[in-house]
Amino acid sequence: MLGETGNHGHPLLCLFLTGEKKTRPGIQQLHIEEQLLRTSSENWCIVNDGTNDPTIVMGVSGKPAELLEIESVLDDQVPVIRRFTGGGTVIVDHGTVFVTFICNKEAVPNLQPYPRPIMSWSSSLYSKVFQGIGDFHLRENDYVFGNHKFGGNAQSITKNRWIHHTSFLWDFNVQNMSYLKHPKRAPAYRSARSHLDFICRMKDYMPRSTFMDKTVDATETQFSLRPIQLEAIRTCTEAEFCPSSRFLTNEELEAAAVALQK
Amino acid sequence: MAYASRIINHSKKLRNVPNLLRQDHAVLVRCFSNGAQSSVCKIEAAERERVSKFVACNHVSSGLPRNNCSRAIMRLGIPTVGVAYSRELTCSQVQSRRGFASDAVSSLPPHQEIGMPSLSPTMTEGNIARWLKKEGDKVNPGEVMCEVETDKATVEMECMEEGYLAKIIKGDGSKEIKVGEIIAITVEEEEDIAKFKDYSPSTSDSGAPAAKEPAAPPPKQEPVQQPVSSPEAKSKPCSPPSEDRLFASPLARKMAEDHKVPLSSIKGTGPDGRIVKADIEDYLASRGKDVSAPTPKTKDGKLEALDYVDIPHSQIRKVTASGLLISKQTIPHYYLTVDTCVDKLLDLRSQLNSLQEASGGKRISVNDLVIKAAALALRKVPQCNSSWTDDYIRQYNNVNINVSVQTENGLYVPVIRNADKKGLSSISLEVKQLAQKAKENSLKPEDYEGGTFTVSNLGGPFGIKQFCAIINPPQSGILAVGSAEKRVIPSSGPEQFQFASFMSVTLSCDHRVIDGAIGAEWLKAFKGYIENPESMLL
Repeated sequence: MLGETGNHGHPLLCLFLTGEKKTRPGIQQLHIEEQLLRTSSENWCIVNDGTNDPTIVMGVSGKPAELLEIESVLDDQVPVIRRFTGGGTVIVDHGTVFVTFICNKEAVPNLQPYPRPIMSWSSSLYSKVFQGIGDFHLRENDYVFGNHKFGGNAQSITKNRWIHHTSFLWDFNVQNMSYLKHPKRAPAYRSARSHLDFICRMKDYMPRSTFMDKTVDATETQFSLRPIQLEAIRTCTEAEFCPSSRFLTNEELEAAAVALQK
Repeated sequence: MAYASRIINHSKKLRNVPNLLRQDHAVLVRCFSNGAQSSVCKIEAAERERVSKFVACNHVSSGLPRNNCSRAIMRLGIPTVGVAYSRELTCSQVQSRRGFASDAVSSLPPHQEIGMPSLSPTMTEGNIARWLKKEGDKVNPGEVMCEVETDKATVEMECMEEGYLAKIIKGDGSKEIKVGEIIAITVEEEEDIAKFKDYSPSTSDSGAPAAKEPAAPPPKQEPVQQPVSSPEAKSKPCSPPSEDRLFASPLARKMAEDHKVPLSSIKGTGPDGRIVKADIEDYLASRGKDVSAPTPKTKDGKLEALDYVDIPHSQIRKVTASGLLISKQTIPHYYLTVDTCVDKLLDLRSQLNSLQEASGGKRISVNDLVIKAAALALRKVPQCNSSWTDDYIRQYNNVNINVSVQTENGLYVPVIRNADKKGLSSISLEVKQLAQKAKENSLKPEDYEGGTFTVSNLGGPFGIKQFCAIINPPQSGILAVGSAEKRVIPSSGPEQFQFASFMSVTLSCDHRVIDGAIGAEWLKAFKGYIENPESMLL
């Protein structure tokens, strides 16, 4: 399947859109992504329209004590997932749109499979989507309009494949932000701004359907798209695969809170 | 270079070799393991015990050739509150240390030290997300050994050479590992694995390279002991003279009485061994030092405790620090200086100010005129009003100038938007308003964001003749303005010389965006406006 091309000599890309209102729990999304990264040999683009309940998703080496207000998280029983890619912490809900690219390293010609080049490639794809709308660009590792962040990125690069996923802040609930601490490591352009001064809502710039359409269009300029249904994903991935994204247990969160107080 | 190439081999990015070698903060760092780093930070607390174990990890395995690190430069930045210093060691210094640690070196078999790889030209540190191989596992070329995390990416690090993973130095979840820092040890022979069971980089070497550092700050025992002990010897109270009578000048007696200094403990340096005022003064001065040391008479290597105060980082300090560091490290700066004759400018200013006074307006400062001139020059040479990004240079149509304002809280850089379109009086008013807001710490993001160029003025009250400023990313230029001074210049008139006032300005440019000729063109435009200020009306 490696190097299989469709029309125009573009590599084949399996496109999976969940469609509006068909949201899936964040953990399932991550499991599928990791499985496709590690066991599939196809290129994928997955667009997931948010999750049901608010869920906190941390990067692979995130430390809960540093990143979360653990007491509130435990009190309100907000689920916390540690995902398999690096990067920062987000709180996702039905207002978050996820777009994930999983590619073989040869899929994009002349693209080196390293963090920065992949980041540039994805930003050039999205600049087609946001052309003329707002002042879109990639700022350090974030997608911004002007200097307000609306999309965060994370990657995992394996020997022959890579995954780049973006969580877009379509809309967010201000109260949910209070579960997250101010990160110790923040991008320089944040300039010590508070959460609300730093981020913005994508819905203020573009209707959701327009965003989805334009993303598909932009992807089509580089790939030959093959729409896929969920059932097809389930069958083409191995049953024995054990994903590493997982929920943090209450015990783990409590232990982190205790350690913090010491 | 064999050592250097070995570290690079272990780094995933073979293609980044030219980048790695070019970097200032060298990838080829064989620097402190966590253990030694923490010992450095505690240096003041436990100086004596640390001397022998200090900076030990520069162990070189006996398997590696001797002259390999001649190119490698080690630079260590260890920011800790109160003790912030960076040192540069060349490998040759480390080499000379090996003589002292011969027994430690020869006990370990040949092995490869795997360093934290660099995943991007600007990566300086990363984390280990997880190890996919454990100690004792065989590793083959192309196999993934561990997952390294930086910023937003986890990247699998492959093994380059066949061998066995003998020891994992940085385990799962280890954070903030500097690029090049040792993360694991591999060996070629299976039976060598066991020898590294208790290996830890900080215990393998003795000797203290830091002690030989001539420029090392005070908390270093060996070299400082020499100078410390001599003043101590000088100031140490000598054994009192055995005579009953002490000759001392009346002034010295009075001083001693005032300060409750026993005359018997002072050695006189005046005529006939008389104690004079200077002796009392010396004694008092040195006694202040001695008091801080635990027991001034004992010379057992205890260093005088340093008196210091730890100033925690304010938010603005943190932001300024990280921004400027990134700027200096990632932007290729170069500097162009011109002297501008400001006679006409100063004349214009006094004319305008008399008008302002008459109408109740604010006084115009030289800096306001500089801002206006810079803004117009940016309009003339818009290449200097740009930003570098990985994919394009963004040339701004607005000329928004950041002006640096020093306050008690720190350095603020509020912005004057569209400075090219504003009159001098509105520029002047805005600058004063923003400076006031800065002093009150009430600047909002819209007051300092969106600038495309910065002007920094250390002339006037600061009195600096000339300086080179650091560019504020993502801008590509910054103008550093010095103070005006009267100079004698050759005259074309009847006299042989005349006086004129000159102000030195230095433009720092990002060479990715602004080529030398363009920077020069900008300065020419700026100088034109300053020396002929009426041209700003055109």
